[in-house]
Amino acid sequence: MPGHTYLDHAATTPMRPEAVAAMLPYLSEQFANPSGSHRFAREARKVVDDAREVIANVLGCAPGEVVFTGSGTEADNTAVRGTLARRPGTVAVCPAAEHHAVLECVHLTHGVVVATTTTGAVDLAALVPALDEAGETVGVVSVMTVNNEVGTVNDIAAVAATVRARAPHAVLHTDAVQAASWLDLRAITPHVDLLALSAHKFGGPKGVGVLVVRDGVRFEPLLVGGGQERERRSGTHNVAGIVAMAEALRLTDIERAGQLPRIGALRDALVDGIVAALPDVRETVPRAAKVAGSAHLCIEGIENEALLFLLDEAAVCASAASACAAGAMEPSHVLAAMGVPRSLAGGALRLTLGFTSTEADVARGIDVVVQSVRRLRRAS
Amino acid sequence: MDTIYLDNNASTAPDPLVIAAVSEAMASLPGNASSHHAFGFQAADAVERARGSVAGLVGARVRDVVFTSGATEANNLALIGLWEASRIDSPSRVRVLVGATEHPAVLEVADYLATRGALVHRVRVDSLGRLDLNDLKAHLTDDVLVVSVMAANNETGTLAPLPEVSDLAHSVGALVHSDCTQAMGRVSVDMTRDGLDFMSLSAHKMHGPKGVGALVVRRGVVVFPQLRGGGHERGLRSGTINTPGVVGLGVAAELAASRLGEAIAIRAMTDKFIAKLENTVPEVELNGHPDDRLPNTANLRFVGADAEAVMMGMPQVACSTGSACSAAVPTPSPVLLAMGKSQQHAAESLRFSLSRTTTHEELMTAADLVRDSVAYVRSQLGHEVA
Repeated sequence: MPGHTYLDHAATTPMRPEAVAAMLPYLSEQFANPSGSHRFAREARKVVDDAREVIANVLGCAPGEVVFTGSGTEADNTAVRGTLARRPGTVAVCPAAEHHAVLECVHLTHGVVVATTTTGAVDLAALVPALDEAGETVGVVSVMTVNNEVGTVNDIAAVAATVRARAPHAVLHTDAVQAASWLDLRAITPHVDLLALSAHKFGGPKGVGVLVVRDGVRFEPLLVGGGQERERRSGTHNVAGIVAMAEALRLTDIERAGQLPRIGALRDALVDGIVAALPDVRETVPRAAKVAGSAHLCIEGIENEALLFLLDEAAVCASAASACAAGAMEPSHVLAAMGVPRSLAGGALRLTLGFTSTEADVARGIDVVVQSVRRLRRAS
Repeated sequence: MDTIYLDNNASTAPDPLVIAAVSEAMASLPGNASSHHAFGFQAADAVERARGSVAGLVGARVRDVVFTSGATEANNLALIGLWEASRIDSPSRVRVLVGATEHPAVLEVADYLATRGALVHRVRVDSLGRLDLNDLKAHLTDDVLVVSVMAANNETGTLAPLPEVSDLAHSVGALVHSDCTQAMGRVSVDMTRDGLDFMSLSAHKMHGPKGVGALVVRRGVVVFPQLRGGGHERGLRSGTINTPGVVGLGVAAELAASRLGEAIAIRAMTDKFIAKLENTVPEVELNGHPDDRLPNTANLRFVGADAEAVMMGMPQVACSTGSACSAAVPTPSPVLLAMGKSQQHAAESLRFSLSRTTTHEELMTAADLVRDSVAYVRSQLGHEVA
């Protein structure tokens, strides 16, 4: 929307024009159901498999290991609950700062939630005894690659080493939904058994995601009936969405090395500008622990609900926490896990940048945040 | 030569107005509908408008519409979600009745429920694919939780007598679910008139985009969510809303509601196609009910002509030998087998499904190509026409 400053790329990204262009033919004349047996259907099937190859290449896995889903949430749900269903009597283990799509599944199945560090990263010192205590009953361990609220990066290689040593039979899943724009996924995939992606977090369309299932890893499908995706996910393929996702991921991967310093500099300018103009603003997580596009601040003396209202009035899009329906205005479980006091968490502000972000966005963001916070502080 | 597309029960071409709306939404509604800022509010407004359009198509309340990734997810959510919720609300209801010719997205879910303790019965159908109401009655005891009967069969197009099914089911306190995927835009479905407690639908079967559908759940019917984390769709279905897809579904629903009258013309075309084949090809049999059938569907058996071979002999004609699911390995249609047809009968049957964009000319061309391909296959296989 013209005139708006969009600082909420962790909630969703605008679509890349190339991804829109890639999907349009499959939204219009090439609409066949890939599961048919006529020529038109076979062409659609080839398109889906070409997309699978592109995605596998970016992820560093085999094309047969890419399973298309309807969302990142579905991929996460399948990973946790599908694995447990395959392994009756086992439990899931995850850190307390996971996305709700993992956390709720772990709660639902009476799993084990372990502590995080003050940056929101998984605390290996807490994970080890949890795995030791649960022993053979650990069915799946789920650790997100990048936290959606505060941007903290987990060291998946170190997590994997721990899990393989302490729970060698467990399946390791990572929710990499927030990672694709910032990290080379080829360095993540080899360490895990399952990995979830969501297209709309990297310039692709909403309504399509990926669950990477490494060769030999078994789970019970969440959706049955039709047997698509080699019985791993039933439902007619969203051909246009899959094509667009592959194109968005391909471009994200190509451009990543160039975008990281650019977006990192914008993020630094944004945070520095706000912190320099306002007293009593704290960076929630040190930048070295975070991805380049993420800024997260705890602003004393304000309520973020009021702040977001003022930001929205001034046409600046930001958020307090994640963009989920229930969570948007509730206290953040991530900040609670990090030990951030509730009084401070009430002033949490998430500003997230992405491939469309500009210097003008940063300047406007600083200006509006600073003015709005001053206004709220004067009023209180 | 251009493909003559007669596989609309597998998927339909998105309407130009749908494509325009989806494209526009991708450009102008980039936000997350759950976000509390202008981008989010605008996306949420568009989602709510689409919800109204879907509710209008099926005679439901706006709030009853739960958006999903498609009908498969909707069917899974409906039946597994109901089963899980009912273990607390009404644990004595352990029976699940499904039509014998349901889509795999219902049959396989029922099989799954059987592993969780449900007592599943597949209600018989007659040789025309009509649900056997006597078999239904015989199995309707007061421990039946739900009866799931598709509004229209995907392979034969045979319609279910939904009001009768509902009256019978409700008389023992059972709920009624219907997979209405194939009925949308082709015959009228009204949840009140048809007595449906919940129903599934898919956008891409009614000239909408793939990857989006809905479960419509009447107030008071409790289903447990299957996708968790985020609490979208009143907690029933978590996951960021596919705003452009939902907008496309909404437009498709509006169009479907306004175009139901076209069914008469499509029915006439289908009948003409069947008549032409019956006049030019010996030993043709219609599968499914001659009258109570989707207006666009012609499932035909060509005696002595293997259907796969007939399809190979007419690559310009896009049709199907069964449903368009994971048909990597051709197997005889379970729908036709459930109707009492032989393996050979099923292997000699082809489904042609039309849409509003099918032209008379291409249909007549297709009939000629079918005739020729059937004749060739019969001669190759040594089938002597009686």
